[in-house]
Amino acid sequence: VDLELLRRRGPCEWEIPMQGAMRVPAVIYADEALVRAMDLKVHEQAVNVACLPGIVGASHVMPDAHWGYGFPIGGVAAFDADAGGVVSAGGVGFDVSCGVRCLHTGLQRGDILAVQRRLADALFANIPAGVGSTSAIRLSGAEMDAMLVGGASWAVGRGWGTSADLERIEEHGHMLHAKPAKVSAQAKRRQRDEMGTLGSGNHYLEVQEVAEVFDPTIAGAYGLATGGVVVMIHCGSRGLGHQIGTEYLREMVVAAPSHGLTLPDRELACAPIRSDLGRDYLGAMRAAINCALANRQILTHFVRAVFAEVLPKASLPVLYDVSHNTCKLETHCVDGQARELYVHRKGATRAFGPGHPELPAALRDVGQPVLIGGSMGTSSYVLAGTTRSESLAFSSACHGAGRAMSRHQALHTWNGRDVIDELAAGGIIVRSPSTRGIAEEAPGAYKDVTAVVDAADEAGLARKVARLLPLVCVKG
Amino acid sequence: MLFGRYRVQLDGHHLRAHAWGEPASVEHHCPAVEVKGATFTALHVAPAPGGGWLAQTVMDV
Repeated sequence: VDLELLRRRGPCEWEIPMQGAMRVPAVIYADEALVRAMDLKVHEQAVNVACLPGIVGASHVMPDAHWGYGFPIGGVAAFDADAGGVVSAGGVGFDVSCGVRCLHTGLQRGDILAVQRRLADALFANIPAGVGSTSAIRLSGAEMDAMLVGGASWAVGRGWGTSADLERIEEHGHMLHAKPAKVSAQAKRRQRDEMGTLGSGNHYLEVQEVAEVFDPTIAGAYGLATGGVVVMIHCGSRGLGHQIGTEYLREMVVAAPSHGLTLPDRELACAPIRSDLGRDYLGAMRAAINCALANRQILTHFVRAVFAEVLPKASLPVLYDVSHNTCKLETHCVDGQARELYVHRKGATRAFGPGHPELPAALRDVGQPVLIGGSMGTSSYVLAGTTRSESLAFSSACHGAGRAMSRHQALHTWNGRDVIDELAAGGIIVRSPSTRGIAEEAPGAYKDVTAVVDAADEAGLARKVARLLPLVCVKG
Repeated sequence: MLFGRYRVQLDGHHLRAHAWGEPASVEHHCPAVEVKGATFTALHVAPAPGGGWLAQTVMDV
């Protein structure tokens, strides 16, 4: 993005002033180098989002933003239903509730190194990963609907985890007001065999060591200390979420004129929150959030079973579970007034600050853990939500490194086998069903996650707590 | 499913097609990513300059 197009508000805060049909300004949170490296499309998309009816405050762009479908990935926008606000399937993304879950292990780096390859092989053998992967779980029609309403709570009820897990998950493990009846038969059919699977693309499961602690107080509250080991799971709502996105995007494009919506770009397809289509999408999208929460819960159960076999002294309680492709109804203070807003976060993580009533008691004093997945072979980060983040971007922060290079470019730049060997030489054991996928996900295809996280910290969106380094990676 | 052979018949504005394929196999096809969905990006259907028709869409992966 050309800096000439922006007005600098601070070291990591840039405004796209109101122009044309914009109802609010757009604000980019990033340092100068990240802004310069952002695709011009991000600017265009942030401006387009600012033109949508009922948008409140600003169209926000996170430091890891890149060109997405309609909304930028790394976009945050809040809408007021009373002011004609809209809900957009493109503002949530295809992989509804894609997110990250972090598990403690109670182990130290040395414990992993002693069994590193065996652990990698056991995880790879027991965690279904890759294109078209299925698990042994098959859901009947009634069970599917129960899962879509109950989310991780449903999974715990089936024996995949404990009730203690639920308080460490956003929405306490199940999103209210899900409507399985608004999820098509085709979406449910695609999901029937995919519960407890990682999927492909940028999804992964990593065993990581805590390499560095930035804030010992918050790290202590989170149970993180240098040398400790955690498991990070990154995946979403699989085929069901993709199908819901596909179907509602089409419906929203077709119905836009009947709702009096003139879209600056048809990719911004949306519907008024107070319309049948808006309500139907919200119900289906919430069901997809539950699908993702249930999926990560089942994967947690599989991981625990593997550790029980390979490292029986391990104990794997949930540190936290965040979703970064959602639209949620939240109360936010805007100009001193509490307002109920539908907050779209697409490639952005909810980041509630200290004292927020939604947080479990053990975390409430320090703020919500914000889990930032790196690219394969690079650092991941744990951040904490700040009080200031609410006024900056409706309590939101970045979600990962963000792609710097297309999959096609990456495939022509790296060889999957070489990437695996190089990572192994650096002490990181990778297992994946697809060497081509490894090339597409090569660490160099992503932005520098450290620069992204530093910018989020500097901007005040979230506070750096700890840096994690992978020891084992199962790549989808 | 992965499709590899197609027979397309055009009749005015109607298109009929048969597609042949096989179930996706990770070992055999080595697929890298799943298609999440078809999008409206650069969606285009028009007669091609050299004859026939061109239809294009961008897949979200």
